[in-house]
Amino acid sequence: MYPSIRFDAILAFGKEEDFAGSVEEAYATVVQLGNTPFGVKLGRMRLPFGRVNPIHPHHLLHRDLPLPVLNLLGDHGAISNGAVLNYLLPSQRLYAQLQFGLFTLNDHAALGVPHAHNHSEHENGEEAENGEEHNRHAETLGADGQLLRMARLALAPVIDRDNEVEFGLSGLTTRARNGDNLRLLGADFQYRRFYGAAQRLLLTGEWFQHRRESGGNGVNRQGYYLLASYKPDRYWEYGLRYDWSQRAYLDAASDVSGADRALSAILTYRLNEQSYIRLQWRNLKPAEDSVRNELLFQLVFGFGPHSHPLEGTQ
Amino acid sequence: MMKRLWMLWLALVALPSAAQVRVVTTYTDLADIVKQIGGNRVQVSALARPQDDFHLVTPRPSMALELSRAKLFVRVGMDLDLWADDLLTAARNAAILRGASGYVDCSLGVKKLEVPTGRVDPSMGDVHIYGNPHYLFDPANAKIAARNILEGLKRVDPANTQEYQRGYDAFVARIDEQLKRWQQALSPHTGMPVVEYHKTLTYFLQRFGLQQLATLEPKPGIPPTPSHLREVVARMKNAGCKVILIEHFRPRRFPDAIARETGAKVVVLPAAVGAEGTTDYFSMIDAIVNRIAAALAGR
Repeated sequence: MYPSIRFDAILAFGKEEDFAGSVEEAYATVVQLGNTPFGVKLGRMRLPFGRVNPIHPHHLLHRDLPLPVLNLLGDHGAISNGAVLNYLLPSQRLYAQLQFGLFTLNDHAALGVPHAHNHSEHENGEEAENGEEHNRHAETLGADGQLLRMARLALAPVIDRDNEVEFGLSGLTTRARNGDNLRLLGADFQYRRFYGAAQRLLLTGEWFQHRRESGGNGVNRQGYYLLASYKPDRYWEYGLRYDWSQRAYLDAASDVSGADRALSAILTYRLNEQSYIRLQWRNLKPAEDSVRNELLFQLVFGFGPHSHPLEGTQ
Repeated sequence: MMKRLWMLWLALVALPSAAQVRVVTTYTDLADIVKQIGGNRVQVSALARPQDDFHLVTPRPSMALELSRAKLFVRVGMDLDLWADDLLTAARNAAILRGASGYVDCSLGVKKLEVPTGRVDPSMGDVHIYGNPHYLFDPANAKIAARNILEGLKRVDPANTQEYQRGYDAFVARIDEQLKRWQQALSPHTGMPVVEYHKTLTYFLQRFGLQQLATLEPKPGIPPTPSHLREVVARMKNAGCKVILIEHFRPRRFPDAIARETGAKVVVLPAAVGAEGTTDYFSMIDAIVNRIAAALAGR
């Protein structure tokens, strides 16, 4: 729109019951506010919480969202309306970015919960906690109209041209639908080694802790995933991911064994810069159910050159 | 004490670390041209490594850090280095954004080839809507890129305009001199057909009068397919084409298979300064010219 202002919009069209379109994301980015070291992002966006959540799904290295993101942030991750202030710390040898965000949870779809859902109709709709029924992943963050405050620190020390390591710490607070105070913490890391023209080894992981305070009692939930990915050339990519996560609104707080687990093997073939075919085998063990083996397929088709996302640093 | 610490902090974050102009380019060939014009008045670095496939550079936080401190950003443009756009956003340095004084698009003024006309759709592969972006392989276009860089350096560091002008004049003079030598080296082979992996040398081949018979990619950015390769083999045999040109970062599997069937020679070319032992723009073009001339001569 203007040299220091850009506007991004991501529209989605799909059919569940009826064919419908929606605005997944639409935000303006002011790269630099005057001569200050601050930038700002305004609009509807994926919250810059953690490493995977801010990334648009077709840029992920896997077909699905890891279980801790599904269980503790929402079915499609956390998306909402608000503003993020970015500050790049002045440093010669360390990329260090601080982000502060303020969002309003004014739309259930923002958290991946369709408007018309009747929770009792869901196969997975279970559990009555504090007298309220919840869908498995629904409303994991909070309630309509509530303010959500968040912060993130991303660090990437400069090593050399072939190695890159990144660390992140994220935190958010809001109020749940039932009035509980809700706090979510996250820690993440990523190591990438680049060799040759297109070879790349990537090791990454994230850990979340979800905590609710209700009438003097605390409820803690946790989850993590680890991903290893190897790209031997420009076409192929092999990945292995392990997920472990409790659910935000299920079972007693002390029931650590009540966690979902999944092991995934991922194979991606890149046809060109932005088109790829992906197969993901997932061995899923839901907390209350028997093991399921699933085969997920993804075809992403794009054309023309476009910008490549800088993972988790915007 | 607090005041001193505050002053020290301000000095560290607000003042330039040296008198040199900090320049960041997307590719190493542009970094070399900046160095040749700016000499020791510039401190230049390239975001992509010489071994990178220029289409597939992965943006990284360390690159955003480099851009955050740059006074001048120099790019190829024409969407080749579109991968740098998110880095520019992440770097939060308004001085080097599009339209700012520290932004240089070297494609300005280049006579563009293969600009698509009419409809552009996914069936055309990774087509660049502004045309083929590999113009720097034509030395005459390197002079245009150098002119754009010169203007950028003058804008951000007007005090050293004369120094930059001298550097630019010397670069252009050397290109003109070398261009004659390169044309002489390839003139015995005018009109001869070559096959490329990707349309990287379109500008180069036009400059030196060589014929691009086919590419191993059926469409830009699309991996070779068996049916397309069969067609390429037939065309090479018909035309008596004996040379397959590939950039240094391409896999050898497909060109080697075609070479076995046709008896052609696979020639690996440096597609970036720093690749294949090259040290500057001139040695890169030297290597390309010499290797193609030798292959076409059957050596």
